[in-house]
Amino acid sequence: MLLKVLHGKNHWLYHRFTAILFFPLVIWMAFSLSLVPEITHENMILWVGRTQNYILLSILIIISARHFQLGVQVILEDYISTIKFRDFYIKLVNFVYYLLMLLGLIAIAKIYFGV
Amino acid sequence: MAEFTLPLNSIVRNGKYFKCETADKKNIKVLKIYRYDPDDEKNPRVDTYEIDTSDCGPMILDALIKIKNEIDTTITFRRSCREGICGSCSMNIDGRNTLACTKSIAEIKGDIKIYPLPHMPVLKDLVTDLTDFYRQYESIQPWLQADEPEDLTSERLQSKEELAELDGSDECILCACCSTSCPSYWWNSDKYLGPATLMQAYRWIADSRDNKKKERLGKLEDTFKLYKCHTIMNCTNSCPKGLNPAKQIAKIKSLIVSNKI
Repeated sequence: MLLKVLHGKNHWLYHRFTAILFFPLVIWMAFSLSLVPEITHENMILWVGRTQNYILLSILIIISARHFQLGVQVILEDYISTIKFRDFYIKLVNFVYYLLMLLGLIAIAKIYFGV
Repeated sequence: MAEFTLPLNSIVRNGKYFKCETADKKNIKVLKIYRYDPDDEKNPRVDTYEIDTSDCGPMILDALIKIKNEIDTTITFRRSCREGICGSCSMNIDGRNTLACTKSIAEIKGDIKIYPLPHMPVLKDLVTDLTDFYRQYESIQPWLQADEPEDLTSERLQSKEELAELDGSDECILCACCSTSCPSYWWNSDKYLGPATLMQAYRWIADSRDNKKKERLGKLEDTFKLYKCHTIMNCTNSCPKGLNPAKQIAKIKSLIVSNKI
C-alpha cells in the first residue's frame, strides 16, 4: 500500500492518513530545529545524528513523499483527459516519489551511520 | 489534455441594446443576457435590455417573462412553477447559479448579468442540455429497491428518526445549480457524478426501507464517480434550496470506509 498507485477509497484514506501524520511531524521538525543554536553544516550533522531525530526525519520523508505523490496524482487525474497520457504521468510521478524518498533516506542514513 | 483557450466560435460578443424610453430613469434596471442560437452559426452574444421595474414583478423570472412578452420574443429560457420547486429556471445570475424565480431583482446592485448554467452544452440562449445530468441521475437507480415483504398488504413503515435521516437530501429539486458550479464536474462531467446525483445516491443509501445499501455504496467506490469531489463547497454555496451536498458526499465516503466496501 505504501508504494502502490492507489485509487478510490484507498487513495482517499491514505491521502488523509498521510496529511494527519504530516502535521505533528512538521511541528516537531520546526520546534526541534528552533532548539539548534545556529544552523550550520556541523550542527545539522549532529542534529541528524541523534537517533530520535533520525527516526522521525525518516518517517517525515516517507510520509511527505507519499502525500506529494497522492496529491499530484489527483491533479493529473483532474486535468489530463487522455487515459494513455494520464496513466503514463501517474506512473512517472510514482517513480519520482520512490526516487525522492530513497535519495532522502540514503542521505540521512549516510549522515547517521557516518558513512 | 486540458484545453486552456476558447474555440474561436465560442467567444462571446456584444449584442443588441434594447432601450426603454417610457420609464422613469430611477425605475430602469439593465439586464445583460447571454444569447446563442445554434441555427444562425454566429458567435454567442450578450444582449442588453432596459426594463421598467415599476411595471414588472419582483423576481428575475418576472423580468425575463416581461422581456419575452414585451421586448424580444426570441429569447429562450425554461420555466414552470415560478416558486422554486420545479428547478426549471436554474441559470447563472450575477455570477452565481440559482433559480430565476426565487432571486429578486432588488437583491442585485447594478446591471444584472444572466448566463446559462456554466460548462454545459447550450441548446439556445439560457437553455442547457441536461441529458448527461439526467443519465447520471438514472445511473444511481433512484428508486426504492427492497425485498418483497411477506405480507403484501402491509406498509413499509419508517420511524421519525429514520425519516429524519433523509432530511437535507430529499428536498433536492435537481435544478443542477450545484453540479454546474463544481470545478471537478466542469473538468470531468463525463465520469464524475457531481453533487446533485451523489446527494440523491445518499438519499437512497440512507433510506431505512432500501435493502441495497452495500450494492449502492459498491457502485460508487470509484476514483471518478465519487472521489473527484475535493470538498470545494461551491455546491453548498450555490444550492438555491439551502442544502449541503458536500456533507452528504462526505457521509457516503465515510459509509464506504465503515462498511468495508
